[in-house]
Amino acid sequence: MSTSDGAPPHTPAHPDPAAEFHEVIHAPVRLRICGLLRQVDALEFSVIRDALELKDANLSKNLKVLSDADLVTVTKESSPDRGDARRLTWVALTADGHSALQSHLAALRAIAEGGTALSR
Amino acid sequence: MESNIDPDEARSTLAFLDDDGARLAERVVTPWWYHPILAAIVAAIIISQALPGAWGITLLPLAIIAIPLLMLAYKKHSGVATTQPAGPRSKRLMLMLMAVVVLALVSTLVVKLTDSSPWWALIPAAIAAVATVLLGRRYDAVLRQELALPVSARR
Repeated sequence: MSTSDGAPPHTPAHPDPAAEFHEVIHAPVRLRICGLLRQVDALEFSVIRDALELKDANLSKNLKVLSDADLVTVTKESSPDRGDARRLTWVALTADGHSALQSHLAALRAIAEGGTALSR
Repeated sequence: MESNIDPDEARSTLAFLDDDGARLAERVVTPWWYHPILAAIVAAIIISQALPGAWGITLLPLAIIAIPLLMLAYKKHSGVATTQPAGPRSKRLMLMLMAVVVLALVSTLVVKLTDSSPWWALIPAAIAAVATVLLGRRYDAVLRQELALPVSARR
């Protein structure tokens, strides 16, 4: 089985983060959202939805939780390509989100490699 | 209430993230028109350095303004905003392309400083344009490969 070492191409300022469990990020959908976002600058809502095979409502609900925790930014942008006046929604990890994700992944790696269970 | 994450669950979660990265990589597909337009912009910037008088002063800002517009068009087309390489191979290709463009710019400045015919600037401009298309497409292919790999395997 492959494992991720979690070091992103956009690591802001935490090359060797301390392992720290993050309760908000740990929920499976939210962790996968953050995992996608760590690879890029930003992703459009539909790309995340399709990549993770989520319903719109489920993704929106989890983005709200992440946004309320200041882990992601959600930016709406008009799209002239769309005739129905809907807007593009861009999602990006914040600097705090990057740090929290790296710490959380470090905690997961420690458990996966060390074989010690983490209490949450 | 308290529960535990066991090693198997942790490994499974990390593997999920790697699989998601592979799915994201499938979405990072650059449209065919991106690199030819970028090549034309790069060529325009290089040629502008050799053009006399108002021609160069007019062409350079237009070309520079075109770069963020092109990037915006790509971003809206793909739904992905990415400006950084995903691993060492894509980073090397990006640096190679930048080196070619810088060398082409320096060559053009030499043309200008030696009062040679501006037509000579077409040679470095053409080389930089071809490199932009070839190395740019290679960069995208490598970027997709690296995004599809677990982060630990990108070194």
